[in-house]
Amino acid sequence: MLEHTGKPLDRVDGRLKVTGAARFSAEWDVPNLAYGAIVGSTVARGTVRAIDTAAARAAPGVLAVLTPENAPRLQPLPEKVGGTLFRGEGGMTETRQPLQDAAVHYAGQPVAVVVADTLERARHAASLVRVRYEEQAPELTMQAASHRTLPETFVGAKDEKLQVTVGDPQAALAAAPVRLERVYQSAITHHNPIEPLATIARWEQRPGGPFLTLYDTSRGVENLQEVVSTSLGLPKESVQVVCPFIGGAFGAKGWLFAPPLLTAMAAQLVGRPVKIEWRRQDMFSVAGQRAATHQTLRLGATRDGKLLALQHDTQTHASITSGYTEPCARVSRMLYAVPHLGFSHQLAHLHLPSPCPMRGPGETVGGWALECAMDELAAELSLDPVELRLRNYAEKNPETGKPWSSKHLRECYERGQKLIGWDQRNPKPRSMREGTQLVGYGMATTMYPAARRPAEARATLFADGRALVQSATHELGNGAYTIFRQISADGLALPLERVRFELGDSALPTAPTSGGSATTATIGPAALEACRNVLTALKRLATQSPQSPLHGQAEDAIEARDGRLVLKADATRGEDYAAILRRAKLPSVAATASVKPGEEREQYSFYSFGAVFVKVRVDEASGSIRLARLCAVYDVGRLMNPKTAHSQIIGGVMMGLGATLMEETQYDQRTGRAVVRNLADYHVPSLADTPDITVEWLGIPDPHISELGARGIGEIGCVGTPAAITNAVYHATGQRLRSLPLTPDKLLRS
Amino acid sequence: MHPFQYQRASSPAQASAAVAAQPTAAFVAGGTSQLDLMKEGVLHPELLVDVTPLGLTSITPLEGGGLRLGAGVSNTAAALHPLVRQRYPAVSEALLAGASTQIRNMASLGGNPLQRTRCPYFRDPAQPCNKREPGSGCAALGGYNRVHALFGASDKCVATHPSDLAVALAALDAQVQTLGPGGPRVIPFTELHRLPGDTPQQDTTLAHGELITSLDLPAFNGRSHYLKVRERASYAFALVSCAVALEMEGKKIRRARVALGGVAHKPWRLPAAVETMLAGQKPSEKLFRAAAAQAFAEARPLEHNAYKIPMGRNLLVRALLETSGLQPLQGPAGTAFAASVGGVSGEVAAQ
Amino acid sequence: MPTPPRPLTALGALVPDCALPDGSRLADRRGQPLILAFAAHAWDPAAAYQSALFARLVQEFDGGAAFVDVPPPAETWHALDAHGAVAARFGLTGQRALVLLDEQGRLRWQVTVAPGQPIQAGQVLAALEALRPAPGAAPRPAVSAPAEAPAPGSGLSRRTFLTATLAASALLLLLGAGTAAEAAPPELAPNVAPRPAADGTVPLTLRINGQSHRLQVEPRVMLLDALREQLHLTGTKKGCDHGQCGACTVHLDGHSALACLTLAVMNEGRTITTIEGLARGEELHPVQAAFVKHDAFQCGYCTPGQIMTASALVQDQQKRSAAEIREAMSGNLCRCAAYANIIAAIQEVQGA
Ligand SMILES: Cc1cc2nc3c(=O)[nH]c(=O)nc-3n(C[C@H](O)[C@H](O)[C@H](O)COP(=O)(O)OP(=O)(O)OC[C@H]3O[C@@H](n4cnc5c(N)ncnc54)[C@H](O)[C@@H]3O)c2cc1C
Ligand code: SF4
Ligand code: FES
Ligand code: FES
Repeated sequence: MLEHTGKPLDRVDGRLKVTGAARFSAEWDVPNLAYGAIVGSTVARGTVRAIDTAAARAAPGVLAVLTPENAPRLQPLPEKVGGTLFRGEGGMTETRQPLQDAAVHYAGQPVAVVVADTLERARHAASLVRVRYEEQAPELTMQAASHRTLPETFVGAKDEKLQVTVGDPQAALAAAPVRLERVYQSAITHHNPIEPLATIARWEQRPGGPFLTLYDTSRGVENLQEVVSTSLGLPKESVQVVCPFIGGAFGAKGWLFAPPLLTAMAAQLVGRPVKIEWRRQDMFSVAGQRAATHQTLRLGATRDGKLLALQHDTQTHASITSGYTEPCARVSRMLYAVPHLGFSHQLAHLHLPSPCPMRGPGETVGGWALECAMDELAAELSLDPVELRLRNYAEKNPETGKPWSSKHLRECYERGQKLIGWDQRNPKPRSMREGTQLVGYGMATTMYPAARRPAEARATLFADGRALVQSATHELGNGAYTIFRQISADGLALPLERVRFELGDSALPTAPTSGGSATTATIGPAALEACRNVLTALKRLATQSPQSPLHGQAEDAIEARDGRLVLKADATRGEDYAAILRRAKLPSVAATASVKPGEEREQYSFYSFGAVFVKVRVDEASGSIRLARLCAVYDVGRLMNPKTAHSQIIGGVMMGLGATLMEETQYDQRTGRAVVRNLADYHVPSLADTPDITVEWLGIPDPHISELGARGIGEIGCVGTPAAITNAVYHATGQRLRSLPLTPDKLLRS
Repeated sequence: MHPFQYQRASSPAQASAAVAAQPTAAFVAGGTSQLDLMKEGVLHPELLVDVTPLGLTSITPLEGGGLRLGAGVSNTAAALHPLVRQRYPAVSEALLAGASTQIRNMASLGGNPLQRTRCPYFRDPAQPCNKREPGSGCAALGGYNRVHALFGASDKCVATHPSDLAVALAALDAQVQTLGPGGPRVIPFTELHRLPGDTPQQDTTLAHGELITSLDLPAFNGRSHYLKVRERASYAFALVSCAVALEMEGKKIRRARVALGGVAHKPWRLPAAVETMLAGQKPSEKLFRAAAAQAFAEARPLEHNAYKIPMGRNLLVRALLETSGLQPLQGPAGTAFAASVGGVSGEVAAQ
Repeated sequence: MPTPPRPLTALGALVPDCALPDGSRLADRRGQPLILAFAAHAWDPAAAYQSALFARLVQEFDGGAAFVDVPPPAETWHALDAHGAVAARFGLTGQRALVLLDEQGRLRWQVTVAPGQPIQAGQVLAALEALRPAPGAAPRPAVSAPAEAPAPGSGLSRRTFLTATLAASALLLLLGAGTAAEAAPPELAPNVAPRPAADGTVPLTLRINGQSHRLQVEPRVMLLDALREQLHLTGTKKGCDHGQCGACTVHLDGHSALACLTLAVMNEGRTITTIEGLARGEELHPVQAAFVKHDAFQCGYCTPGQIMTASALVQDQQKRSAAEIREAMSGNLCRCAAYANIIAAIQEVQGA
């Protein structure tokens, strides 16, 4: 049945992308377009007392200046959208709506928007706006924060409690023969997709009232439709969000809504379509970030390395107006068989920009802390790091007690060791060199929750033999166009060229925000089901038509094959889809499907797993660390397309590498203004930072997640890599670095 | 960006006069620093005089063995020029370890040493900065000053100069040919840049409207080499860098000239006392360590940049070891690989 | 709103023969009414309107409609009218438009569609209705009146309705059509500041992908913004606007350079190549083809810049080691980090 699915096909949108024809959000050629430019607050805390817009308004080409005074009034954000808690402690997003009041909660917060007829004029006029603030001293450190909370859940999810105790970890720690307590810290990092945030907003008068089209860099077109329509007090149907291509998101572009709302308001004010393309500099204030963390790991173990207790306590921060909490214990809660397990998350509200998920939220930095602590414990016990992990291999989920849907982590360790040559290394720290450089090997376990969400899809068969399958999901580099076309072609038994998959439009059948590595597991089954439904409809047409060779046959005696419905028993008896439709005088036949995960979610614990091994070179005299090689083996279920999957995974690996070695955003500790605010100061890995990478997967389908057997792969590469590198640096140098990123100064200082 | 007038230069004299005549005029060559900062809202010239039509793109040997590099030569062209590579590998290495392929294609030799600091506060018009806005204060002094100066800073400014090329030119005692309102003149490269003192807005000793026409490399019969430490394997500014020009006499050092980058408001030539310490000596790690210790004796670290002291010392030792042949270069002389400490990632190092 | 294009062919006049992207000739299609749909993009997956239109038309004309597609080149469903040659016949320079020819090949109706707006199936149907031979009646006035009455029998039979969808990117059409007449750029007049107009703009001619474009811009307009905002050549991307990412890489006189750090006015007289000018018609540049083959991208946003740097790099036909590629390509950041595949793609092109 799966003829196309699972094949390493080239991306179907590849040609568009390599010719520059793929259309990104800022690139719609909307007539009469005006340009918006943002005036960001220069203070991090205070009140806007006055905005002098006279000079800006007098500047050539300026159409209007949007300020809290003249901005359209917005309704409050919904409490929850699609099951995701938006507001409050642990909630996903900023509570505050833009330009509705004079309060300033972080530097760079938009306080005005200048709209002009050209980009240059808008930007220049924005520099002419004078804002007077009543300034207050911002709170910028977690230790000194006056408002600290203990959020109950992560974005309201019932199964994601943030304060948990299983057994009695305190007592177990006290009694443990071997104890280890370490603090790990990680810096603020930014997603920095290469495509900046952008929105074009276009209002029209339609018979039913005003209608708003948003071309937005959104990986949640329906979510955004709901947020924008609620905020503007419009019926949901009066807002359409379009986004066929996203230039990378990595957790951004999903949950912070001020940018599209500001654009919609600006367009309303000037009565013209408006485009706001955010400057890279602004992305460090409005695009979301991974907050810094301060994590205390306490491990108790027997002398032979059996974990007795694990306590993982996190301090992290959000803005004043957001309760988003980096869920750092996501790995600790499930990775090892530990009888006594505890974790907590303390959230400090600071006058810094709002955080949001970033690739591997919680897992990337929380997993780093855990897997570094495990390496430290292995060293303490003189155990091989892999062996320590095997001794604590979890046969079921230690927090919930549920069995895994599918887990083959042992094979990953085994294969990874072979690939990197684990046994050939000298396990003694500081024992290996190449030329003037120290060499080290390190490993870590990786995991990722295998989420699946409800979704809908529609399949349409046309009388000319082609088909269209649609769902409001997103193409953000994940290969959505490609894999869902593959799946749909299989579902319809049609050649790939005759099937098209459409996405990225809120007018299409419902799909969730693309995130949490859940897109494949969510949309794949929906597409498949829609295909099946449309074939059922077609079967009915055939069996009911006296002229059909299939007339009077039972539907389940018929199957689809090569664009034809044929008798299972006799494939020569049948007819092609187009013929059935033509005879029925139907231009097309369509069917939808609405699918959601079922009982299995209650019965099993769904996770992907993997093992990451790296070799680093360390130039100790300068503190420079380079990766020579990375070998990783993943257990992620069945792959829909090994080619795009490989790219997803190495992309994740490199983002993990960036967080480990170089990525760090700094805010001035006095003013709260971003000091690192561009791509020259915020280093993301370049091609020169790319090691030789070998990625393998076991390819064992998950028997429970869906009939496709596919779990997600978007984030698992990012998790594990940081600890593997950090542990390798220890092996190379004998130094434990416990603060990300491992920039040269840290190695020199320690 | 503020509106401005744009003019193409027709001759060096015309260009110089045009800029000199208007206090708010500036030259533009490759534009990679000038336009960058105009877009940031840091610079607001009202007239931009494009010097690219002047050509000035030749590289010509000078009598007596030197080499004249036209101010309009692109960083790429200079770095790959056979005479530059052969005679002054430090120059090629510095250029190729800087920026990216595209920027090197655009950037001119005249513009490169005149690029402005990468101090993040300088680049943000909302922050106080004496260099951008004299008298507004120095936000870096008590702020995030990880990339700032160890030497020669003032309480008005602690910025560093970001050019790689400039460090190599300082070690090689290049000369700057200019044409200014007062006619042509020659400036020793080490005197082109200045320390911030009370007027950090002034990066160089050039007069307003003084045009660089060429950079002259004096004859040199020795080895030169450039090393650079950065936070990512490529496409990043130096945390610390070091250029060495070493002349030998038999087994002994006749003259050693060393400049450090990333540590001061200008390329930081080592104090004469340290350079003379090396002269007449046989190269050895011990000697170099002693010189390095001496070189950093006067370093004045700020809150976040003390790491540059051990980094700089180690780098200096290593640059001397590699230039004197006591340690192999990391890659072929005259390439980015020779200059990049740590090299690129991956198993196979460049050979 | 939508300004009607200036048809090269008058309404009612015979449209001169030309080659269609599928290789057939317009003249050969006479005998059936023909709708040419100039979509602004090739197969644009965003364009739910394309499929909606398609579905509506099938519905209206039931099984009798024949939909002739141009054979799929590589992945796309529709051939690109890459140089805007066909579009130019209709005076189109980038707009999306529908053109209706009658059975004799005469231009009957033409409408342009505002960008960002769906082509309304209703518009097409209204046009078709108008051609239907209402017994003894003239065509309905809902449609721009043809210059001459339709020849007898030019009515549209549902059975013979035919549509070919010629998709063309707006940019490419622009190149192919409106500006083709431009002469070579004027000689640079040294020391002559282009005289600014009252609004501060200066006239400017840019030579891009072999075509001259005349613009009127302020001196502060960057080449990148001129390309993206004025010429709608949006293949060149903006990632940082400050030289820090490489997404805006173009070729200036054959060298890779950043369009975000050079003024448009500084590039008069230079030969500018953008990603749109790299492929030769349907045939991808070897670097483009290798990028597809090796999946050297994910989201595709950095990709045009990567390809422009790489295509400039491979011109010298040197065989670079992986380390040399790492170094030479470090100025193009890819946050999706398709780096390992980019190395593979470039190595393949070098090896060829
Ligand atoms: C992301 C990024 C990374 C970079 N990384 C590095 C790096 O690692 N190492 C490094 O060294 N550099 C680096 N650079 C800086 C780059 O090398 C310089 O911007 C470039 O060399 C400047 O040359 P230009 O011709 O573009 O100068 P322009 O920007 O045109 O001009 C710079 C200055 O020089 C003046 N000027 C230009 N020509 C003349 C002349 N002939 N006479 C008098 N004044 C003149 C201009 O008025 C202006 O003030 C980087 C730049 C960017 C954007
Ligand atoms: S160090 Fe110099 S450039 Fe930086 S803020 Fe201080 S004065 Fe400005
Ligand atoms: S947009 Fe030009 S380099 Fe980033
Ligand atoms: S493909 Fe997404 S940034 Fe490179």
